[in-house]
Amino acid sequence: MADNSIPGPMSMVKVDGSKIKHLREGQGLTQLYLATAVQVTTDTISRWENKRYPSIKKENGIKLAEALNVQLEDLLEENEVEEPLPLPRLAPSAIDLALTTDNKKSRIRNIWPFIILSLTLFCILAAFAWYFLYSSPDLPITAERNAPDHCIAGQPFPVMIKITRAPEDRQTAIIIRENLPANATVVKISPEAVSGGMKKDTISWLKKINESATFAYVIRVAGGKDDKVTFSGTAAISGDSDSPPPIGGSSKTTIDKYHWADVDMDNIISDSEILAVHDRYNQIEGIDVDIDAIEEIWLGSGYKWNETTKKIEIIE
Amino acid sequence: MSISPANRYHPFLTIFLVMVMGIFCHHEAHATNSLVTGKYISYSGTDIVLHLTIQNPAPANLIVEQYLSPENVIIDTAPQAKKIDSAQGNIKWLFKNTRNGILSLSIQLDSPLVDDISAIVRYRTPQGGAFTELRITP
Repeated sequence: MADNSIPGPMSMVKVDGSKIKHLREGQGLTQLYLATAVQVTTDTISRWENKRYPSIKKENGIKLAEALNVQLEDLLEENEVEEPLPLPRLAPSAIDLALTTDNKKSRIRNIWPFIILSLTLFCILAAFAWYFLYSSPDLPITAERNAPDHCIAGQPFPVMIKITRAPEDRQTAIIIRENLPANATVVKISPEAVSGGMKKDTISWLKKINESATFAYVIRVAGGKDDKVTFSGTAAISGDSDSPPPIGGSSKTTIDKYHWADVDMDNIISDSEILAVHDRYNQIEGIDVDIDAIEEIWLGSGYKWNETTKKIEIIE
Repeated sequence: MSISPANRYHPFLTIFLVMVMGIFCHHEAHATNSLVTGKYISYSGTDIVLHLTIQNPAPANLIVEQYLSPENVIIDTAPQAKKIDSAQGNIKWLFKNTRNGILSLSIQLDSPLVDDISAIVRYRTPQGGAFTELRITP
């Protein structure tokens, strides 16, 4: 049998709770009897029997063995490994006692490491959350085109290219080359294309930007219903790349009978659609997407594209 | 009360989880807090006054739609409405390039207000462009 004594200032033994319970019940003894004999509470006896606190004072173990008419060794748990425990804190009889002021102070002292640990973990998590939720992507440049899903042949519509780059102290020169769709006529450009950069099928911009900039143009396209208008282009930091990355975002617009601002194609310019037009295009200098005409449609009950007159008719 | 070694860590785990929840609740509140609030300053008699409080960052553009009973006869609005549909008792404003602060809208009727009134404010959030509607009642 292993030595179940636990070394320390107070001698402790490990008892087998099930043996205690078996012996007590076998002799028809109550927990109260044992508690009285050992001078502990019935709760303590119950905990011992349920093995919640198998390490008990050796002195109590001897009293318990006497009360059960067995040797102390008969109660000890077999093959238990010794475990060094801070005896005064884990002794069951101590737990039964009301907390003294010293115990409270000791507990408060023990709380601090966990509070500091919690705060540290909190700060780390907060830093990660801040980074992922609020930081801008650390990419040299991103370019996204915003073109309507549909347009009416011969009616002007806007195309917008938004450039974003990682914030830096100095300005960076950006080169944008936008290939115009076939059968397209440019109505307006903002900002002005670089000198000689406005060709029949290409617009080229060269501009210094800080964090972001918007490049836009208004075009009319010829074609029949369901024809696709295709956009492509590149954007790069000046002198940075031999093969500049393509502009992302929208790349196709379908010719239809619906106004480009009528996103859901229900022949009505709704509140959300007019707000989107204002939010996106109102701030672009030099670009006139004929917002007043779109507002007129919005204020009416709806609109209809007249194929014969090639005009939009507003339904009052 | 005694705390067993196994249970002793639970209060600190709870504190930690509460703080973590706090981060996400803060973010969520930041994301969903209404940028515009409204209150009727006057909603009886012949003068109806609605005050909108616009927070920062302000939505770039706002639509305000005021609903009245068609029995009311609208004489004037300030600022001037984009559309007044007297038959439906409907007034619509479109405000462009709005700034944070208080926006006051007033309606003058030819006789004291009949029936209930309400308004709807519509805007797109500056960050993300989510379409938002806010109903205002007295």
